[in-house]
Formats: sequence, structure tokens, C-alpha cells
Amino acid sequence: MSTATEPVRRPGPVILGAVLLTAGIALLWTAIRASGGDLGLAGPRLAPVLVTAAWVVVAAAYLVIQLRPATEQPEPIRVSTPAGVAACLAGFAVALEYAGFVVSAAVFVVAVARVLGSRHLVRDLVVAVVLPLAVYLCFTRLLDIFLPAGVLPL
Amino acid sequence: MNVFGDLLGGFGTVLSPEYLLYAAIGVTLGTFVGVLPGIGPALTIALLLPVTFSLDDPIGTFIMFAGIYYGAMYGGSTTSILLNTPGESASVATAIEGHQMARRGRAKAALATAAVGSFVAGTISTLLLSLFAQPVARLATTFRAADYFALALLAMVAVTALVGRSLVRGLMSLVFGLFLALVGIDGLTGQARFTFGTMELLEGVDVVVVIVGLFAIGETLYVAARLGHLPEHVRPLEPGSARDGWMTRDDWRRSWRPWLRGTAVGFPFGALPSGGADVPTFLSYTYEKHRAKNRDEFGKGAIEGVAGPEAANNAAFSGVLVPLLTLGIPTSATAAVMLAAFQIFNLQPGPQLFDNSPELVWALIASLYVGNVLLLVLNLPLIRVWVKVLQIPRPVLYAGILVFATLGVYAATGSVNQVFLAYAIGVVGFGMRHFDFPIAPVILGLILGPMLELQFRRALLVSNGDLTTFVSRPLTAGLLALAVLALAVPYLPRVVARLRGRRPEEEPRKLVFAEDD
Amino acid sequence: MTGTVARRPGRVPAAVVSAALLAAAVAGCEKDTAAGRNAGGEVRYPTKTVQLMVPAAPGGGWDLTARTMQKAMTDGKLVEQPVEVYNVTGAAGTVGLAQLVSKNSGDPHHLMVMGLVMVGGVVANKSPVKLDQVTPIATLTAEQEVIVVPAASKYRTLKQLMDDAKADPASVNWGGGSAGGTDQILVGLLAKAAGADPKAMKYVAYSGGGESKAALLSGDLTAAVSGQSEFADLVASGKVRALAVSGATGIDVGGGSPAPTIKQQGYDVELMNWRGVVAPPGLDEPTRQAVTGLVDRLHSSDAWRAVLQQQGWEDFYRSGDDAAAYFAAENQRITAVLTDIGLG
Repeated sequence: MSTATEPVRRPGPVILGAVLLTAGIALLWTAIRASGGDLGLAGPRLAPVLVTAAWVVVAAAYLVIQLRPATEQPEPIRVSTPAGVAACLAGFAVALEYAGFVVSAAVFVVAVARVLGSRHLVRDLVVAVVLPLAVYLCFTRLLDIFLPAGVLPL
Repeated sequence: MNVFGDLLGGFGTVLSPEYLLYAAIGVTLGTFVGVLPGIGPALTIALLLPVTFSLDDPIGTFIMFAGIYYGAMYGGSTTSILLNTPGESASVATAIEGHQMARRGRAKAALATAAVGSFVAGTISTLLLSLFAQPVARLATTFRAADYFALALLAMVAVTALVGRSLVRGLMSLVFGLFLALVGIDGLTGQARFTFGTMELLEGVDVVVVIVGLFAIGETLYVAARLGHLPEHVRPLEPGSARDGWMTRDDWRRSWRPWLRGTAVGFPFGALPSGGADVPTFLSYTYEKHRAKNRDEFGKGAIEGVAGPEAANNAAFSGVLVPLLTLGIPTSATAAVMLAAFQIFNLQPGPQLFDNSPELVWALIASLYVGNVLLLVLNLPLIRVWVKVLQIPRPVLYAGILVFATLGVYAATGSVNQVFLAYAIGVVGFGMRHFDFPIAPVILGLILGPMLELQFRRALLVSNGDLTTFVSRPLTAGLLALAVLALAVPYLPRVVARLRGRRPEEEPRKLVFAEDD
Repeated sequence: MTGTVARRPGRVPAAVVSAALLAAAVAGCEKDTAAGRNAGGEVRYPTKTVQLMVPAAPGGGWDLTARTMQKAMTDGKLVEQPVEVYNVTGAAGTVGLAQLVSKNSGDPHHLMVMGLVMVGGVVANKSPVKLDQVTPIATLTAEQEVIVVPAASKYRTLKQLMDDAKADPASVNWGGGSAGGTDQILVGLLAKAAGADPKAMKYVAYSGGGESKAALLSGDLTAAVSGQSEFADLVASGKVRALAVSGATGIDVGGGSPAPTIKQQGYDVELMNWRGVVAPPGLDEPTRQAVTGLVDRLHSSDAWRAVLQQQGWEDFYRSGDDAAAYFAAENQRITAVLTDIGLG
């Protein structure tokens, strides 16, 4: 998998390990606090403590490995594109119930296609109008599944 | 009347033009909704159940329902294979090898082995259902909480192969899944766990939301991150292949045994009143991987890894019908929906159903055979159409996947918060892909975790805290012994070597932290 | 061949005709009014699509109630506007309840199906949104609960079972649906009435009725509690025995003759798993009456009668102020027993 030729060490995995370990400790603490010391075998508080404790142990092991030299490195990636997609998704979800499915999905399709490198605006626009409208009509009219109508008088 | 007479009667009912039309509508509807990425069989059925409400006639409803189910399941496999976006836990195992096959240009062969495998498994298991429903049900109800715990433990140990190349990363994924399973109200005491004071998390994290997030959303984000490295289209056909990618003679030779083995593990597991369809698919995958002569091919698109789980998945459905029809016990999300459909007609499945409504039961069973055939007839030609999906330009394809994934989660839960939850899990899925953590163990933890915990605690509760309940019955003790054995087998050679006074070839520590890549 | 199996009602011509006449009469009075009120100050309702929320996944009892209401309202022409059903899943309906209060306040076109389970859910889940925040409209239907034991069990009457449960709570494994749900509430009420400690009762919760059925048959459970129809087939086939039902009068739960009520066996407990309808908060009085009026018309329609009979649902109709009073009383009783069990 690792195709990186230069032995430059990226901090990503180490940071991840640290984050996992911290999260694990926080969750373990939450679990222990919630148990109030009552860790009966048949009670509801034992499993959370066991699972989060395992989390801490495994995360610590991961971190130790990543601190060792010459472990494999993930391929370099551009974070900006997935971040753009995530931003579009967030906007989609927020707009869904206010603008309605058809409008929010249409805007979303055009935006995401742009982020993903599409340079065919007309094609995207056609898809953005036809797909959500067709889906909306099929779902609400034929299958009787509720989708928010929003601003359009559908 | 004997079974065959009853069954013939059932066919007599089903093979009328009206009912055949219902079956065809069901299969088509199920396939087309199920094939939407991010909308798996469970969602499809939940979404389409109200459609069946509009029919006035129970037989027609169940015939359509069987069609929808088969269609949804196959549609779900199609998107798992082509786009790596399984919509429910039972398709995850299929996606592992299936998507690799698609990436290597073997999409048609993967879809074909899934279709034929589903047909074979569906037909055999329906036959088993027709013949042995009552005795299997009697056997299945002898399973007690302690036995379920032992069984879940055995399954957990048996599928550890899914943990993948790096033990630490695999375990981290597994622990993450186990953690997600804990979120929400505890099933036994009603206590909230890890809900951080929110209402939304009380219900727990739905497996479907996790799967849509990890796969459909996570995969899209990962693709987005590597746009520069990827070819513009995924090629659906093997480059330079003279054949057009269908199953070769070799594919058939490699597929038929996994089909049968998948059926053999799927049916009994489905018939257990706490079984379900997801565990046997993972068991089948693991088994095929262990058995395979060309183990290196696993992870890169081995056809056995598609054939086995798909067959197991389909066989489990007929298995699920055993406790449903004979005892009224639903063992999967689908069966629960189906039970609801029975209740719409005020029918209570149970021991009397075969006596009181034989026409309905046998028509339902006959419609399973018919649904199977229709599915094959519809889908083999459609494979050509589905693989064309891969020729859709990537930006539009993934925009569509995201729209459908969002739509599915929203339509099923009616809550924007659940959509956000799926997105958040999608970001985690992206991170897991980037840092090379395996995805399947998360699903495994999510399914087996609650089974292990709840059944363990139930067993202790009913035995008043007596731990000997896990060894006092032969069935429990036997299952636990098998689990211990399965855990120990890989280490036996080393233990033997050490006992003989020789140093083992590699230190166990090395194995634990190995980064073999 | 379709005639041999029970057909769904609602398409009976007579019902449609009479309901259509009724609807026409109602529509006639209200003709030519703008949206909102007519000259007499009466509220015209509904003026747009009625959205019926099911605060649970498709396929459950609430879902069935809502979809039946939808069918009866549109088939019976009680509304000119369409009726839409949508599901909001989560935590015994409390997620849907919170949504109704926060998002649909003041909007009479959003209604929600709910029931006893939600009363318990609000308490057990410590929901920040309480049931008294919504506008009560009506209770519609109810089902009794049934207590069953395996055929081979030594218990032949409820009294024998309760005596043992009181003397040695650890010897009786009770089983039923989710923690804090109707089934556990009944066990708690029974224990209280029998003079036992509700908290000491060993209750094993299962998801849905199916799992507890398997557990009863496998021998994990001493007795199972469930909705009246759930065990009907197993009772009829002689695999399990019904000890008691929880309503005011005994009903047949599969045994061929009416099972005795809990009251008849000397414990002062009556529990109905009822279902009803509520509207969002913030409706003025005329609007509330208009919504109640629609549900009143639904209740008296032939289509609804037919559904009740076919589903075996007991008619449990209370509307308006009666419903409000009943909600309050149930709330008090359920809160008390769940607190006793230790879930409050």
C-alpha cells in the first residue's frame, strides 16, 4: 500500500494515535463515573468499562507502533476536496427541511459535482434538476414515502 | 395432505396471472429501490412496507412482499459490488471481495455469481423450509440465553480473520464497533449509556446509519481525497478481455461449492430465534478464505468471497421464516416488518398458522420459489445495465450516491440529526480508509457486541447470578469448548514447539504488533 | 380464492357511501370560506395536508394505527386534503414528542399518534419534553395485556404465581418487552397489588414480543407478559397457558373461552395498552375543537368501526377534556409505578 518513496515522516498517524488514546481515556472515565462503583456481572455498567478499557489499551498499542521508526505511511491526500464535500453535505442536511428535498438536493448536486472536479455545468444542471424531481415524485406519489416539500408548491 | 400436495396447492394459488404480476411488481420495485446506493434491503423494505398496505388481499401482499425482499436484497448486493456502498450488515461481507472484483473489471462475473448463488441458495433453503420447518423450529427453541452467548462468542472467534492484516488496527475497529453498540438505552435495565444527555442517542446508533456512513459517505470522501490518483472511470470490463466479463468456466468451478456451503451455514443460523442473516455471511466469508487454495487472491477480488456470503444471506432468509411462520418469532429486521404485515391482516403467525391458514402459508412458500426464479430472470439481463453505472462520470455518480444515502437515512428515521450522525460516521469512515483501518470489524462489533452482552447478562439474570449456567448444559458447554478450540488452534503449533523446548520461529509479540505490508 | 382469507375492510361500498355523504354535508357547510375561519367564527379544518407523525419505526402498533387512520379518513372522505404519515424513530416515541413540541408548535396540521408506551417512555428516559406540553386530542383504541406460562408450568392460577413471586422473587423469571414498557409496568403494578416489592421482581426485557416467546418456550422464563394477541396462537396450540388478562372484562386470548381478568383473581390492577392522538402545543380553543371534531368524525365512521372489529382492537374512545383528564391520570399512575420499580 505504502508507495511513498521518501522516508519523510508525516505526523498524521501519531496525532491520530494520540487523539484515539485521549478519547479512549475520556470515555473510560465517563464509563467509570456512570457506574458509580457498581460493576455487577449482570448489570449494565460493566460492559462500557470493559470496552472503553480495551479501547485505551489498543489505542496505546497503536500509538507505540506509530512512534517507532519505519512504519508504513498513508498515501498523501488532498484534504481540501473531502472537506469541501463535507461542507456541501452539512449545507444539504441543514437546508433539507427548510428548502425541501428537491431544491436542496439540486443545489447540492451542482455544488458537489463542482467540488469533485466536474467542468460540465450544463450536464450537472440537468442532473441536478431531473434526479431530485424524479426521485421526489416517485417516492411521494408512487411509494407514499414522506419527503419535505419545502418551498416548491409540489 | 402431505407437504408436496400442500406445496402444489400453493403453486396453484401463486401461478395465477394476477399473483404473478404482484410478484413481478415486487421484484422490480425491490430491485430498483434496493439498487439505490445507501438504501439497503432493510431500508427498502421499511420504506416499501406501506405500499403493501394498500393491497386488500393477504396472499397478494405476501407474494409482493417476497418479491420486494428478494429484489431489495439483490439490488443491495449490486451496489455493494459496484460502488462499495452496502446498505445493511448482511451485504458487508459481499462488498469486501465483490467491490475488488468490480475494480479489476470483473463486475459482471461478481454480479452473476451473486445472482446465481442467491437463486441456488434461495431455492435449496426454501425446499428445506417446506420440508423441515416444524422440527427445525422445535430444535431452535431449545436455545437459551446461555447458549446464545456461547454461540455469539464462537462466531466472534471464528470471524477474527476479518480483523485483517494489522491486528492492532483491526482490534481498534472492533472496539469502535463494540463502543457504538453500547450507545443508547440498555436493553435490560433501560439505563442510558454514552448518550451524553441527548435524546437522539437514547435509541442507540442504528446499524443502517453506521453502514451508510462508513460505506456510502466514507467511500465518497475517500474518493474525493484521491481524485488525482484515480482513472476517470472505473472500467466495468476486464481490459483486453475477449469475453465480455461473464462468469467463466473457472468461475463456475470456483463458485458452486461456496454457494452450497453458504446455504449450509445461512439456513440454520437464520432459523435460530436470535440468529439473523449477517453473522452467517461473515462466517461464510471467513470459511471460504480459510479454505481457499489461492488465499492471496482474497482481498483482491476472489469470487469465492462473493459466492459464499451471497448464498448465506439468501439462505438465511428462508431460515428466518422458520421461527416466524411456526412460532411467530421474528429474528431479523425484515422478519419484524413481515410480522407487522401479518398483523395488518390480523393474522398471528404461530403453530396454528399451518393448520388455520394453510392456503396462505403454502402460497407464501410457493411465492418464494417464484420470486427466486423471477429475480434470476429479471437480473441476469439487467447486469448489463447495472455495470453501466460505473461509466457515469465520477462527479455525478458520487453526487448521486450522497443524495440517495441522505435520502435513505432521512426517509427511514425522519430526522435530520440522524443524517448528521451518518455524515459524522462517514468522516470517521474516511479517516479509517486513509489510515488503513479495516471497516468490517466495526460492523462485526456492532452486531455481535449486544448479542454477547445482553445474552450473557440475561443468562446470569435467569440463573440468579450462577456462573455455572454456562457449563451446566451440554449445548452451552459444547459451544464454549468450540470457541476456545477455535481461539487456540492457530497457536497450537507454536505451543507444541515451545513444549518441545525449541524457540518458536517468531515471537508472539511480533505477531501481535506485526505490520506486514 | 381471495375470499377464503379475511379481507381488509374500508372498501365496503356502504361505508364509503355513508362516509361520503357525511363528508359532503360537512363540506357543504364550509363551502366558500377562505382558509381559517368562516363567518360564524368556526375553524375550517383541515385546510392543507394533514401530517400524521408516527413516533416509531414503520410496522409497529402506532404505525398501524396511523396508517389505518389515514386510510379510514381518505377512504371515508372525511378530509378533502390528503393525509400523510411519516415516522420519527426513537426512545419510546420521546424523540418524536420532542420534535412535535419544538418544530410544529401551533400547527394543527401536524398530529402525532401516541399511547401508554410513550407515557412510560417519558418517565423512564427522563425526557425533557413532557406529555402535558402537547394538546391532548383523543384516545382511540386499547389492547389488553396477557400473562402466560409454559404448558408444563406448575402454575395454574395467577394467585399461585404471585404467591411464589412474593415469597421468593428470585424464583420467578418474568419476561416481556422493553424495560419500562407496558409489560414491565404491569408486572410492577401486580407486585404492588400483591404486596410484594416491585423492585425485587426479576424482569428480563426482550426486544419485541418474539424474543420473549422463544425464551418462554426454551425455559429461560417462568412467565411472560405481552399484548393480548401476541401469544394467541401458542395458547390455542396448547404450548402455553394464559393465566390472566389485564382489562376490565375477560377476553379470549386463544384458549377458546375468555381468560379471567387480574381483578377477578383478587388483585386490584387494570391496565390497557391504549393508543391515542395528540396535537402540537399552542392551539387556540376553536382550533383544538376543530381537530377534535375531525377525530370524532373518524371515530364514528363506519370504516373505523370495521377496522376495530377486524384488528380486535377495543374501542377506547375519549376525546377533548375527557382525554386530557385520562392522560393526566395515567401519567400519575405510571410515573408512580416506574419510580417503585426503580426506573423513574
